[in-house]
Amino acid sequence: MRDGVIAMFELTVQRGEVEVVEERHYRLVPASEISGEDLQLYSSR
Amino acid sequence: MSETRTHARNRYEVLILTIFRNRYKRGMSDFEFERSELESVAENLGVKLPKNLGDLIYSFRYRSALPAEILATETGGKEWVIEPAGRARYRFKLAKISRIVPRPDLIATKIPDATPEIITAYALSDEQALLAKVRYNRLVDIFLGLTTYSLQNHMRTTVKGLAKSRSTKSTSVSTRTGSNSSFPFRQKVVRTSSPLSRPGRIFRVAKRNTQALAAARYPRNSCETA
Repeated sequence: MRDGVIAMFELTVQRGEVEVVEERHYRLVPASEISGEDLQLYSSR
Repeated sequence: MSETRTHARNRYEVLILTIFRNRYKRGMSDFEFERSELESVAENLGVKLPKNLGDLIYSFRYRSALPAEILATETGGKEWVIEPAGRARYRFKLAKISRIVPRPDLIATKIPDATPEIITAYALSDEQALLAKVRYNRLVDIFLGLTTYSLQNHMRTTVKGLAKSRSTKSTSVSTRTGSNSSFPFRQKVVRTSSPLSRPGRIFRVAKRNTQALAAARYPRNSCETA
């Protein structure tokens, strides 16, 4: 995926079809690349 | 691509196409065939039978596109998939096209990378590296909001209506407020530039099979799929 992003899905079956319940993307980075602004954004979710 | 690989792929295509032509009639949306038919078809055609018949089926379910002649019969926004239909038995089925691909506009949460450098250096494949990253960074826990424990790397059991045994890459068991749950997982490294990457197909099959497997193996637990 783009820039080494890891996408995770929760899937379910409805009416015989696979559908997405939840999707999250994670990017693994050195701790120094996580800014105060990032943490503020995450805590406000 | 090596000559050997090219030859194997052509042989696979010839066999699956012959089975399709023998069984398919215009307007059909599904039909079944026995794995043993691959043997009789190969004998009739004088084609050397692959040593691993299961790999032929696996190839068209997960890795390779079906021959163009088969794809040409797809109609109504549906595509041919091959499903297990019991012991050594499979079903060609026209299923709604399902493309589960990562959203390009979804925010990516930054996680401090806890993958040991030595693991990154020596991972033998993209898939192995991905599994290591998921495990060392506890991404399953973060995604589910639960504390999970890796139980088994390959889960095999028998499920009525499916093949005699299938496997998932890893399974975790978690506990929350005293309840136990089992989560079968499938992982896939998707290269968006590859025309053969069919994540929708992969996830469709993985979901259906892994949930049934977990339910059969851990009947006391609630079984979800992620």
